[in-house]
Amino acid sequence: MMCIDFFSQDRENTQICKLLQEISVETLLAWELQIASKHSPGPVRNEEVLYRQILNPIHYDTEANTFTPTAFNDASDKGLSVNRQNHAFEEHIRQMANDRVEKHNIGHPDKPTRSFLGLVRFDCTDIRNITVQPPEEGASPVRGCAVYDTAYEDDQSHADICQIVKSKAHARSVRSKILDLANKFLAENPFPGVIESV
Amino acid sequence: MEPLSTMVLLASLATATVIPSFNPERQKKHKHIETSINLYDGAGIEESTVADLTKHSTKKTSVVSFTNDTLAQLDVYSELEHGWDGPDSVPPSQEDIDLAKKFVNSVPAVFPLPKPMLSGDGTVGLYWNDAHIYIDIQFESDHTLSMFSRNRSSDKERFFDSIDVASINSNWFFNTLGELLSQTEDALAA
Repeated sequence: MMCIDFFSQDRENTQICKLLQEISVETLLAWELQIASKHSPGPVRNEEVLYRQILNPIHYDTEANTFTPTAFNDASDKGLSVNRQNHAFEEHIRQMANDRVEKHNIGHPDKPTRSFLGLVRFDCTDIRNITVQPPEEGASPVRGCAVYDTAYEDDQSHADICQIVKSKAHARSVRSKILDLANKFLAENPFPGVIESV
Repeated sequence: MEPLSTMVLLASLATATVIPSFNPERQKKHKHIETSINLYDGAGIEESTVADLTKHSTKKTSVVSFTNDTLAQLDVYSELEHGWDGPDSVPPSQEDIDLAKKFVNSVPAVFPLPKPMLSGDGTVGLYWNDAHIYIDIQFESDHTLSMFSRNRSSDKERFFDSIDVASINSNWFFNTLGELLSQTEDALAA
Protein backbone atom coordinates (compact mmCIF):
# COMPACT_ATOMS: atom_id res chain seq x y z
CA MET A 1 0.00 0.00 0.00
CA MET A 2 1.19 3.50 -0.79
CA CYS A 3 0.92 6.41 1.61
CA ILE A 4 -1.71 8.14 -0.51
CA ASP A 5 -3.82 4.98 -0.60
CA PHE A 6 -3.88 4.75 3.17
CA PHE A 7 -4.77 8.38 3.72
CA SER A 8 -7.35 8.42 0.92
CA GLN A 9 -9.07 5.43 2.45
CA ASP A 10 -9.07 6.51 6.10
CA ARG A 11 -8.89 10.28 5.87
CA GLU A 12 -12.00 10.90 7.93
CA ASN A 13 -11.27 8.21 10.49
CA THR A 14 -10.91 9.95 13.85
CA GLN A 15 -8.62 7.14 14.98
CA ILE A 16 -6.37 7.23 11.94
CA CYS A 17 -3.20 7.42 14.04
CA LYS A 18 -4.20 4.23 15.83
CA LEU A 19 -4.38 2.57 12.41
CA LEU A 20 -0.95 3.95 11.55
CA GLN A 21 0.44 2.46 14.74
CA GLU A 22 -0.40 -1.01 13.42
CA ILE A 23 1.94 -0.49 10.47
CA SER A 24 5.68 -1.05 10.69
CA VAL A 25 7.79 1.96 11.59
CA GLU A 26 9.93 1.38 8.52
CA THR A 27 6.88 1.73 6.29
CA LEU A 28 5.62 4.79 8.15
CA LEU A 29 8.95 6.54 7.79
CA ALA A 30 9.13 5.62 4.10
CA TRP A 31 5.67 7.14 3.68
CA GLU A 32 6.99 10.49 4.87
CA LEU A 33 8.82 10.68 1.56
CA GLN A 34 5.63 10.05 -0.40
CA ILE A 35 2.60 12.28 -0.87
CA ALA A 36 -0.42 11.56 1.30
CA SER A 37 -2.95 13.54 -0.71
CA LYS A 38 -3.54 14.29 -4.37
CA HIS A 39 -3.75 17.95 -3.38
CA SER A 40 -0.34 17.92 -1.75
CA PRO A 41 2.37 20.25 -2.99
CA GLY A 42 4.89 17.58 -1.96
CA PRO A 43 6.05 15.63 1.11
CA VAL A 44 6.93 17.66 4.20
CA ARG A 45 10.65 18.30 4.38
CA ASN A 46 12.60 18.33 7.62
CA GLU A 47 13.51 21.99 7.32
CA GLU A 48 9.89 23.13 7.02
CA VAL A 49 8.06 25.20 9.61
CA LEU A 50 4.66 24.03 10.82
CA TYR A 51 2.00 26.09 12.56
CA ARG A 52 -0.65 24.75 14.89
CA GLN A 53 -3.79 26.84 15.37
CA ILE A 54 -4.77 27.10 19.03
CA LEU A 55 -8.51 27.58 19.35
CA ASN A 56 -9.54 26.16 22.68
CA PRO A 57 -8.66 28.14 25.79
CA ILE A 58 -9.18 25.14 28.04
CA HIS A 59 -5.83 23.72 26.93
CA TYR A 60 -3.99 26.91 27.74
CA ASP A 61 -2.91 28.14 31.16
CA THR A 62 -3.02 31.90 30.83
CA GLU A 63 -1.30 32.52 34.14
CA ALA A 64 1.67 30.28 33.47
CA ASN A 65 1.66 30.91 29.71
CA THR A 66 1.91 27.19 29.08
CA PHE A 67 -0.21 24.53 27.45
CA THR A 68 -1.73 21.55 29.19
CA PRO A 69 -0.33 18.18 28.09
CA THR A 70 -3.65 17.33 26.45
CA ALA A 71 -3.43 20.31 24.09
CA PHE A 72 -1.75 18.14 21.49
CA ASN A 73 -3.60 14.87 22.06
CA ASP A 74 -4.82 14.86 18.47
CA ALA A 75 -1.42 13.50 17.48
CA SER A 76 -2.41 10.23 19.14
CA ASP A 77 -5.70 9.66 17.35
CA LYS A 78 -7.08 11.90 14.58
CA GLY A 79 -3.76 13.53 13.71
CA LEU A 80 -2.54 16.92 14.88
CA SER A 81 -3.45 19.35 12.13
CA VAL A 82 -0.79 21.89 11.23
CA ASN A 83 -0.16 24.29 8.37
CA ARG A 84 3.07 24.41 6.39
CA GLN A 85 4.64 27.83 6.28
CA ASN A 86 6.06 27.11 2.83
CA HIS A 87 2.56 26.78 1.41
CA ALA A 88 0.53 29.40 3.26
CA PHE A 89 1.31 32.89 4.46
CA GLU A 90 1.11 33.20 8.21
CA GLU A 91 -1.63 35.80 7.88
CA HIS A 92 -3.63 33.38 5.76
CA ILE A 93 -3.28 30.70 8.43
CA ARG A 94 -4.50 33.18 11.03
CA GLN A 95 -7.44 34.05 8.79
CA MET A 96 -8.31 30.37 8.41
CA ALA A 97 -8.25 30.01 12.20
CA ASN A 98 -10.47 33.04 12.68
CA ASP A 99 -12.87 31.73 10.04
CA ARG A 100 -13.09 28.39 11.84
CA VAL A 101 -13.83 30.10 15.13
CA GLU A 102 -16.46 32.34 13.57
CA LYS A 103 -18.11 29.39 11.86
CA HIS A 104 -18.22 27.47 15.12
CA ASN A 105 -19.58 30.36 17.14
CA ILE A 106 -22.28 31.16 14.58
CA GLY A 107 -23.21 27.50 14.19
CA HIS A 108 -23.31 26.82 17.91
CA PRO A 109 -24.75 29.89 19.62
CA ASP A 110 -25.82 27.77 22.55
CA LYS A 111 -22.28 26.60 23.32
CA PRO A 112 -19.38 28.46 24.88
CA THR A 113 -17.73 30.70 22.31
CA ARG A 114 -14.34 29.80 20.99
CA SER A 115 -11.52 32.16 20.28
CA PHE A 116 -8.35 31.99 18.27
CA LEU A 117 -5.51 32.32 20.76
CA GLY A 118 -2.64 32.21 18.33
CA LEU A 119 -0.27 30.00 16.38
CA VAL A 120 2.36 27.68 17.76
CA ARG A 121 5.36 27.11 15.56
CA PHE A 122 7.03 23.74 15.28
CA ASP A 123 10.14 23.00 13.29
CA CYS A 124 9.40 19.79 11.44
CA THR A 125 12.84 18.47 12.25
CA ASP A 126 12.15 18.85 15.99
CA ILE A 127 8.97 16.83 15.66
CA ARG A 128 10.76 14.15 13.69
CA ASN A 129 13.56 14.09 16.24
CA ILE A 130 11.18 13.03 18.99
CA THR A 131 12.16 9.51 19.96
CA VAL A 132 11.18 6.97 22.57
CA GLN A 133 13.27 4.26 24.15
CA PRO A 134 12.15 0.66 23.59
CA PRO A 135 12.13 -1.43 26.77
CA GLU A 136 14.64 -3.94 25.44
CA GLU A 137 18.09 -3.40 26.91
CA GLY A 138 20.49 -1.84 24.45
CA ALA A 139 17.80 -1.08 21.90
CA SER A 140 18.15 2.10 19.89
CA PRO A 141 15.57 4.87 20.31
CA VAL A 142 12.75 4.82 17.78
CA ARG A 143 10.89 7.67 16.13
CA GLY A 144 7.78 8.76 18.02
CA CYS A 145 6.10 10.95 15.41
CA ALA A 146 5.71 11.19 11.68
CA VAL A 147 4.60 14.18 9.61
CA TYR A 148 2.47 13.68 6.51
CA ASP A 149 1.33 16.13 3.82
CA THR A 150 -2.40 15.62 4.23
CA ALA A 151 -3.41 18.54 2.05
CA TYR A 152 -7.03 19.43 1.31
CA GLU A 153 -8.31 20.85 -1.94
CA ASP A 154 -9.00 24.15 -0.22
CA ASP A 155 -5.94 24.04 2.03
CA GLN A 156 -2.83 22.74 0.38
CA SER A 157 -0.75 23.71 3.40
CA HIS A 158 -2.47 21.17 5.65
CA ALA A 159 -0.32 18.46 7.22
CA ASP A 160 -0.70 16.09 10.13
CA ILE A 161 1.61 15.18 12.97
CA CYS A 162 0.92 11.57 13.90
CA GLN A 163 2.14 9.61 16.88
CA ILE A 164 3.42 6.33 15.43
CA VAL A 165 4.38 4.44 18.59
CA LYS A 166 1.71 2.31 20.15
CA SER A 167 2.35 1.69 23.83
CA LYS A 168 0.74 3.92 26.44
CA ALA A 169 4.09 4.72 27.99
CA HIS A 170 5.54 5.79 24.65
CA ALA A 171 2.40 7.78 23.83
CA ARG A 172 2.76 9.75 27.05
CA SER A 173 6.44 10.31 26.38
CA VAL A 174 5.71 11.64 22.91
CA ARG A 175 2.96 13.88 24.23
CA SER A 176 5.24 15.38 26.85
CA LYS A 177 7.89 16.11 24.24
CA ILE A 178 5.47 17.82 21.85
CA LEU A 179 4.30 19.82 24.85
CA ASP A 180 7.87 20.84 25.65
CA LEU A 181 8.39 22.09 22.09
CA ALA A 182 5.17 24.09 22.21
CA ASN A 183 5.86 25.55 25.63
CA LYS A 184 9.35 26.52 24.57
CA PHE A 185 7.91 28.42 21.63
CA LEU A 186 5.29 30.01 23.84
CA ALA A 187 7.83 31.13 26.41
CA GLU A 188 9.59 33.12 23.71
CA ASN A 189 6.44 34.15 21.85
CA PRO A 190 3.56 34.68 24.30
CA PHE A 191 0.14 34.97 22.80
CA PRO A 192 -1.03 38.55 22.33
CA GLY A 193 -2.49 39.99 25.49
CA VAL A 194 -0.88 37.39 27.69
CA ILE A 195 2.24 39.24 28.70
CA GLU A 196 0.26 41.74 30.73
CA SER A 197 -1.66 39.07 32.59
CA VAL A 198 1.25 36.81 33.55
CA MET B 1 -6.59 15.95 57.50
CA GLU B 2 -7.32 18.51 54.85
CA PRO B 3 -4.28 19.66 52.88
CA LEU B 4 -4.80 23.31 53.68
CA SER B 5 -5.01 22.73 57.39
CA THR B 6 -2.00 20.46 57.16
CA MET B 7 -0.07 23.13 55.36
CA VAL B 8 -1.02 25.68 57.96
CA LEU B 9 0.25 23.38 60.66
CA LEU B 10 3.42 22.67 58.71
CA ALA B 11 3.91 26.33 58.12
CA SER B 12 3.76 26.94 61.80
CA LEU B 13 6.45 24.32 62.32
CA ALA B 14 8.84 25.51 59.71
CA THR B 15 10.61 28.45 58.18
CA ALA B 16 9.17 29.94 55.02
CA THR B 17 11.16 29.78 51.80
CA VAL B 18 10.22 29.97 48.14
CA ILE B 19 10.76 27.28 45.56
CA PRO B 20 12.32 28.94 42.53
CA SER B 21 10.93 26.53 39.96
CA PHE B 22 7.52 28.13 40.12
CA ASN B 23 6.69 31.41 38.47
CA PRO B 24 7.25 34.10 41.08
CA GLU B 25 4.80 36.40 39.32
CA ARG B 26 2.16 33.74 39.65
CA GLN B 27 2.78 33.54 43.35
CA LYS B 28 1.84 37.18 43.71
CA LYS B 29 -1.59 36.50 42.31
CA HIS B 30 -2.54 33.61 44.53
CA LYS B 31 -3.26 33.17 48.11
CA HIS B 32 -0.67 30.61 49.00
CA ILE B 33 1.28 29.17 51.82
CA GLU B 34 4.99 28.76 51.67
CA THR B 35 6.60 26.17 53.83
CA SER B 36 10.00 24.74 54.38
CA ILE B 37 9.79 21.24 55.74
CA ASN B 38 11.85 18.14 56.05
CA LEU B 39 11.23 15.61 53.31
CA TYR B 40 10.68 11.92 53.73
CA ASP B 41 14.03 10.21 53.20
CA GLY B 42 12.85 6.74 52.19
CA ALA B 43 12.55 5.22 55.62
CA GLY B 44 9.41 3.19 56.13
CA ILE B 45 6.40 5.23 57.03
CA GLU B 46 3.24 3.27 57.51
CA GLU B 47 0.93 6.21 57.58
CA SER B 48 2.26 9.68 57.18
CA THR B 49 1.24 12.36 59.56
CA VAL B 50 2.74 15.71 60.29
CA ALA B 51 4.64 14.12 63.16
CA ASP B 52 5.89 11.35 60.87
CA LEU B 53 7.06 13.83 58.31
CA THR B 54 9.23 15.68 60.76
CA LYS B 55 10.37 12.56 62.59
CA HIS B 56 11.65 10.72 59.51
CA SER B 57 13.19 13.59 57.72
CA THR B 58 16.76 14.28 56.89
CA LYS B 59 16.48 16.46 53.82
CA LYS B 60 15.11 19.90 53.50
CA THR B 61 12.96 21.24 50.74
CA SER B 62 10.39 23.91 50.22
CA VAL B 63 7.01 23.91 48.58
CA VAL B 64 4.37 26.29 47.42
CA SER B 65 0.80 25.14 46.96
CA PHE B 66 -1.82 27.04 45.03
CA THR B 67 -5.03 25.99 46.65
CA ASN B 68 -8.42 26.08 44.97
CA ASP B 69 -7.23 26.71 41.40
CA THR B 70 -7.15 23.04 40.51
CA LEU B 71 -10.45 22.19 42.15
CA ALA B 72 -12.13 25.20 40.59
CA GLN B 73 -10.89 24.25 37.14
CA LEU B 74 -12.12 20.69 37.61
CA ASP B 75 -15.52 22.13 38.42
CA VAL B 76 -15.41 24.05 35.14
CA TYR B 77 -14.91 20.75 33.33
CA SER B 78 -18.22 19.51 34.65
CA GLU B 79 -19.98 22.30 32.76
CA LEU B 80 -18.66 21.24 29.36
CA GLU B 81 -20.92 19.73 26.74
CA HIS B 82 -20.53 17.38 23.82
CA GLY B 83 -18.39 19.00 21.15
CA TRP B 84 -16.41 21.18 23.56
CA ASP B 85 -13.15 20.39 21.74
CA GLY B 86 -14.31 19.58 18.25
CA PRO B 87 -17.18 17.58 16.80
CA ASP B 88 -16.15 14.26 18.34
CA SER B 89 -15.21 15.49 21.77
CA VAL B 90 -17.15 14.45 24.82
CA PRO B 91 -17.36 15.96 28.28
CA PRO B 92 -15.82 14.13 31.22
CA SER B 93 -17.99 12.08 33.52
CA GLN B 94 -18.80 13.59 36.88
CA GLU B 95 -17.43 10.42 38.41
CA ASP B 96 -13.99 11.04 36.89
CA ILE B 97 -14.06 14.67 37.95
CA ASP B 98 -14.88 13.60 41.48
CA LEU B 99 -12.05 11.07 41.42
CA ALA B 100 -9.65 13.77 40.32
CA LYS B 101 -10.87 16.12 43.04
CA LYS B 102 -10.50 13.38 45.61
CA PHE B 103 -6.97 12.77 44.38
CA VAL B 104 -6.12 16.47 44.63
CA ASN B 105 -7.50 16.62 48.14
CA SER B 106 -5.37 13.66 49.13
CA VAL B 107 -2.08 15.17 47.95
CA PRO B 108 0.08 15.51 51.06
CA ALA B 109 0.77 19.09 51.96
CA VAL B 110 4.49 18.71 51.30
CA PHE B 111 3.78 18.41 47.58
CA PRO B 112 2.76 21.20 45.25
CA LEU B 113 -0.72 20.69 43.88
CA PRO B 114 -1.06 19.40 40.31
CA LYS B 115 -2.89 21.25 37.56
CA PRO B 116 -5.86 19.80 35.73
CA MET B 117 -6.05 18.73 32.11
CA LEU B 118 -8.77 17.29 29.92
CA SER B 119 -8.71 15.23 26.74
CA GLY B 120 -11.20 15.46 23.91
CA ASP B 121 -12.35 11.94 24.75
CA GLY B 122 -13.36 13.13 28.21
CA THR B 123 -10.37 11.72 30.05
CA VAL B 124 -9.55 13.79 33.10
CA GLY B 125 -5.95 14.21 34.16
CA LEU B 126 -3.61 16.09 36.42
CA TYR B 127 -0.04 17.19 35.88
CA TRP B 128 3.03 18.79 37.36
CA ASN B 129 5.42 20.46 34.95
CA ASP B 130 8.39 22.61 35.84
CA ALA B 131 12.05 22.97 34.96
CA HIS B 132 12.94 19.79 36.85
CA ILE B 133 10.11 17.33 36.55
CA TYR B 134 7.19 16.41 34.36
CA ILE B 135 4.46 14.18 35.75
CA ASP B 136 1.06 13.45 34.25
CA ILE B 137 -1.74 11.37 35.64
CA GLN B 138 -4.79 10.12 33.78
CA PHE B 139 -7.91 8.75 35.37
CA GLU B 140 -9.11 5.74 33.43
CA SER B 141 -12.69 4.57 33.13
CA ASP B 142 -12.24 1.60 35.47
CA HIS B 143 -11.33 3.53 38.63
CA THR B 144 -7.66 3.20 37.92
CA LEU B 145 -5.08 5.74 36.96
CA SER B 146 -1.91 5.77 34.94
CA MET B 147 1.11 7.93 35.61
CA PHE B 148 3.97 9.02 33.39
CA SER B 149 6.95 10.96 34.68
CA ARG B 150 10.19 12.33 33.39
CA ASN B 151 13.05 13.61 35.46
CA ARG B 152 14.37 16.44 33.34
CA SER B 153 17.85 16.20 34.83
CA SER B 154 18.42 12.53 34.07
CA ASP B 155 15.81 12.21 31.29
CA LYS B 156 14.67 9.09 33.10
CA GLU B 157 11.08 8.21 32.32
CA ARG B 158 8.71 6.05 34.32
CA PHE B 159 5.23 4.79 33.56
CA PHE B 160 2.75 3.11 35.87
CA ASP B 161 -0.56 1.74 34.66
CA SER B 162 -3.72 0.34 36.22
CA ILE B 163 -3.19 1.83 39.65
CA ASP B 164 -6.31 1.34 41.72
CA VAL B 165 -7.45 4.81 42.74
CA ALA B 166 -8.77 3.38 45.99
CA SER B 167 -5.23 2.36 46.90
CA ILE B 168 -3.90 5.90 46.75
CA ASN B 169 -2.77 7.10 50.14
CA SER B 170 0.02 9.23 51.48
CA ASN B 171 2.48 6.34 51.21
CA TRP B 172 1.76 6.11 47.50
CA PHE B 173 2.54 9.76 47.04
CA PHE B 174 5.81 9.50 48.93
CA ASN B 175 6.88 6.27 47.28
CA THR B 176 5.95 7.35 43.76
CA LEU B 177 6.57 11.07 43.74
CA GLY B 178 8.97 11.58 46.61
CA GLU B 179 12.01 10.64 44.54
CA LEU B 180 11.06 13.15 41.89
CA LEU B 181 10.78 15.90 44.44
CA SER B 182 14.13 14.88 45.84
CA GLN B 183 15.60 15.27 42.39
CA THR B 184 14.04 18.68 42.18
CA GLU B 185 15.65 19.57 45.44
CA ASP B 186 19.03 18.34 44.21
CA ALA B 187 18.65 20.38 41.07
CA LEU B 188 17.88 23.43 43.12
CA ALA B 189 20.84 22.85 45.36
CA ALA B 190 23.25 22.33 42.45
